Amino acid sequence: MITYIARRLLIFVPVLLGITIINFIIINMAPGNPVDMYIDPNMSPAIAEAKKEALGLNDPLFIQYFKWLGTILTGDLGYSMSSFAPVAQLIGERIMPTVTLGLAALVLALLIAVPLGILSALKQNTKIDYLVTGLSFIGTSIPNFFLGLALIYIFAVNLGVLPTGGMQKLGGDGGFGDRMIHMILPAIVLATAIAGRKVRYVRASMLDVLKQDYLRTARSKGVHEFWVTNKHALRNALLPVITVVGLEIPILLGGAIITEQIFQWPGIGQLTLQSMMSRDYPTIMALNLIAAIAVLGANLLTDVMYSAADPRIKVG
Amino acid sequence: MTHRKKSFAGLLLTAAFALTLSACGGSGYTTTNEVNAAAPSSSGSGTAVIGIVNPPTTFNPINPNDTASIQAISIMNDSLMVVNDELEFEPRLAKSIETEDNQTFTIHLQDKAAWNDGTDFTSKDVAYTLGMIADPAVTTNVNLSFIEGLNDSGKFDEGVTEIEGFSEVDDKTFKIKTKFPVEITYFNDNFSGKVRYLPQHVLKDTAPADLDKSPYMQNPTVSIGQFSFVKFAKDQYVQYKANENYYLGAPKLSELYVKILTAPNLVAQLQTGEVDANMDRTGLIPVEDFEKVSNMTNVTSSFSPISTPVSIMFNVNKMDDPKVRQALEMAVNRPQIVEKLLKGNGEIVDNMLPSTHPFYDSSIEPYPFDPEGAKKLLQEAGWDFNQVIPFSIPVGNKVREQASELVAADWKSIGLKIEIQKFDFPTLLQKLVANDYEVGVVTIPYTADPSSVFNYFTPKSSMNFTGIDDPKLTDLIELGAKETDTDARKEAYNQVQQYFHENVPQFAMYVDNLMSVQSTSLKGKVGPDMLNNLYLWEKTN
Repeated sequence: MITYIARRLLIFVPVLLGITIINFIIINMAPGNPVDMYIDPNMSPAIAEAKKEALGLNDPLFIQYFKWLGTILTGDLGYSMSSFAPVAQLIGERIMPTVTLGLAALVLALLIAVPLGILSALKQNTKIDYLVTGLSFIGTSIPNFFLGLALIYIFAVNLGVLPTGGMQKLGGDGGFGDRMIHMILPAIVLATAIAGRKVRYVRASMLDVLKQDYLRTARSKGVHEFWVTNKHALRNALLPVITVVGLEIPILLGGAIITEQIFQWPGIGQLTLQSMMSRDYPTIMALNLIAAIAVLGANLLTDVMYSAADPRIKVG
Repeated sequence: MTHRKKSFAGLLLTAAFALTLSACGGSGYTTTNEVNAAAPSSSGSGTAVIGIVNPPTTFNPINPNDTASIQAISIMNDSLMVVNDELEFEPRLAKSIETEDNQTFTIHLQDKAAWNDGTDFTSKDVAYTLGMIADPAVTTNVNLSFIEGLNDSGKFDEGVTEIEGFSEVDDKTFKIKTKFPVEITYFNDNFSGKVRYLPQHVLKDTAPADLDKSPYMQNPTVSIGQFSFVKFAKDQYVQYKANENYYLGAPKLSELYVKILTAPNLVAQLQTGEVDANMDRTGLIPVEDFEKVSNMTNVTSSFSPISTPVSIMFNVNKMDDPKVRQALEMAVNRPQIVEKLLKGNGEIVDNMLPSTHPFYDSSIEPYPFDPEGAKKLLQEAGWDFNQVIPFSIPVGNKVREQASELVAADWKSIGLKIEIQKFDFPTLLQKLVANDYEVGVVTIPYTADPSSVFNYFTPKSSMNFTGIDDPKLTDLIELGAKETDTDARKEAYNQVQQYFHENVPQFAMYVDNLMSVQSTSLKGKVGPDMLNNLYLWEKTN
């Protein structure tokens, strides 16, 4: 197992390098540049050109890339071209809010999706099954912005029981309880979509497993139905679910742009949007790098968990 | 409208009066601060929250690259003068500014002006800040190229370390000499109202090249303004506390927040009372919510007296026939945009300035909506109706997008072939800068000085969106910028506006009046100059 993980980590290096090259090319292909964003009409074209030169934007693309790579290798993510703050600081401030919100949403989604999926499979083709399937479709298809605004309208504006947004009360130190209260609505919005998708996976997977011979064997041996479902069937049924949950992690780490915006949640998604709008290349590149590491890491984690959940699968 | 006309006439009178003074060659231009006498009072109480939709990106006083940042900075950092909602300058850090020859300006600083840590604010802080702005290693978007001794980019030439046009008279007095005589509005717009200052005692050991990355720029607790910086909770809010040392008197509030939120949430939080007022320009209330907001019982709303025209720009090298451009203007049903889309809260003007601007030429009548006349004009110009016109629209501002679509529909209805292309703002901006478009939509903000918008229309500008290079227009714009006599300047800019009317390198699609909202528990002025008088705001429970 350890050799396997080490080998996979080694493969990460060329893969990451490839990803950064492609990202760099795509980002630079997008029209617009940071200098255009802060020139003023009194500035002559020659001065605007000099600014581009000073920022190295006129260098050939591969030189720009190697310059960027050089700084990254020294552990420095560079400085933002719009706020001039260190990129590491910008990302550092936002990564925890995104991780907390993402994990909270994921746990909430699984707490909803797994029991409902099992229930739906056990009661296949009954009213309960139809209700759960219907709800999962609604959960998947309802747009985040709509659900977010609707929840704000109901719980914040009309009932006044929850805050409309932000991560902490104004000027507050953002204590645990305060953050939890602020997280309720955005976590529900994110969890609704994830749960909607996962219910269908759990249901389908459970239905597959329920038809297996070993469950009939277990029943005939006199194992209680509760254990047949929750031990023998569930463990096997959850295998494919692990894969799709693993795929969900990098998406959550990338930040839920719309949800974060509606609730002013100061996460990675908001930063991504702002840096794209100002063509802040160093920040966009660093965000992409982190997203790439998250995808690769989550894939590895999924594979490892897979073998832990199913002894038949051996990695390495 | 009557009120506006009155205030406009008032402005003209003021301008005429100023002209008389300078024409007499007597006392020159002098202005004094009437509120100067107010003594600092005891600390205030209460907290006010201003809602903003666009987040500020930086607190660097000499390099604010967007409106939201300028607003966030101006709460804690004063300039020498501030502009009121009639685009007149009022003294702030400067007690008075005098000039005899419109080239050497003597600035007297407020005697009591001190940084919030108690250090006296002196001419040395001004010298330090201007030196930093002029240092080639410092990134700034403040351009001081009109000051003597600086090069065309407003920087030191190699080997130069001092600004020739700056001289310190004493701790509270300094002089600025410009390269050429300028009218006072030009000076105030480009210097007095624009430059904000860096605390020399905090930053003197920072190398110029490291200035923009200095920790001070992330945490500017030492400042000279109505409120002091406390904290920036990223994407959530900026927290300020009252500056007890404020030279015009301590603020009546103890705390102030600028809260960042989406437009729908801004309306919701005004309703719940979590937000007390919306920020001018960066805290826009969507048009569709106007009715809802005006029906709320816990807030009062009004419409801002000044606003920015949204422009349709022509690349004059591709759309090269003025007749065709005029026809396109005539084909747009602007009354419908104002009546239906803006629900009557807007106006129609001809080109770059709104009717409330002191330099607006009211003798120019915008072309009326006349689709038949437009068609006739196009036929006269020999326009090929099979030719497709790409129409570039920026996304982001919903009203502007919808209005642009209405415009495209108007053009199609007279037989033109229009291809709508939507871009995010950075993409469109690059296309405009590179003149890689045919017809485009953009909003160019103006200031009290008309050169702020007309300078976009000369080949000397890096933002010559229309690609226009007509010596006649360039000369007029230059004359306008360099003329020192207010009336003669007005005349030059009238001619510029006349040129725009005849040649249509640009026309205004609409001017929308922005809604200012404030909670009934907030006593204070909101709207375009709301940030000038925050220290007088009060909050009742």
